[in-house]
Amino acid sequence: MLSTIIKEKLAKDNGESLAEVLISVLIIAVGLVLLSSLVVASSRMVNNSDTKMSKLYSTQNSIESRDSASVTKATGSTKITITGESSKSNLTVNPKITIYTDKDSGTVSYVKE
Amino acid sequence: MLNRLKNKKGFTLSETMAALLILSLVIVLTGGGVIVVKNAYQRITLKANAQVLMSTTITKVNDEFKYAKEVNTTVDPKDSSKTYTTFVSGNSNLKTAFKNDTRKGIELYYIYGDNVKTTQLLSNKTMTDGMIPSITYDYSTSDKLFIATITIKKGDSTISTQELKVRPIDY
Repeated sequence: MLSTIIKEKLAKDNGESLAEVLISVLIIAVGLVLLSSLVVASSRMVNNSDTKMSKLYSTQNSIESRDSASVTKATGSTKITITGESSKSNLTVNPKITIYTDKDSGTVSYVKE
Repeated sequence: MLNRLKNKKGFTLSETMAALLILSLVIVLTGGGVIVVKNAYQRITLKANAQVLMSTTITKVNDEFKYAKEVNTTVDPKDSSKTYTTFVSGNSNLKTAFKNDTRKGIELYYIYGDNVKTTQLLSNKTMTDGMIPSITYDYSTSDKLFIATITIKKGDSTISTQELKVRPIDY
């Protein structure tokens, strides 16, 4: 089937019409634009993830170092009490927990003193 | 079709020249485009792989520092001119230091008595595209904090650098 079409096309003297050529050029152009947009999109995604990663590590570093410039120590008198039952008597523990918050990202870290 | 093949008439010089000109223009434009896209693709892939490698390295290093105990400065038993900031690893319970190798990347250097043992921190398959991570670190006794800088290099060019601060849990 396909070979007959090719043979017929070769036997004919007339070429492609202008419309055919323009449509094929259009299809090729659309394909190329789509491919290049994929590259641009992935480049943007990589850059975005780079920014997010840097911000995450910087926040993590601030929290770990308890850097006073960017991390605030929570103040307040809220107490957390953990109560449980042991085999002998009731057990109440008052753990002292300090809460640190990163100013930029709002990330919170809890440290048991 | 047979008539066309038997036809002895060729193309004129101007026809051939024009055809060649158009063909070469198309080839140059397509080739240029392909090269630009290929370079961009390689750059993006390298950057993405560097991010993955950096993330993996930070996870592994963070894990070691977080569970570190007994931080000290230790003289290398095999080479007295070298000193390392060592810590007792929570994973292996051995005195450990981080060391850099130009081919194998970051290595865990275990010191027990007069013996030493070296283990690669990351496998070769993790270090894709010929990228090699390296580390410089120190321990601040006053802040109780490990401060490390991790650098990922390909050949002589630095691809990314990240500072890491870790407070050990039990020390």
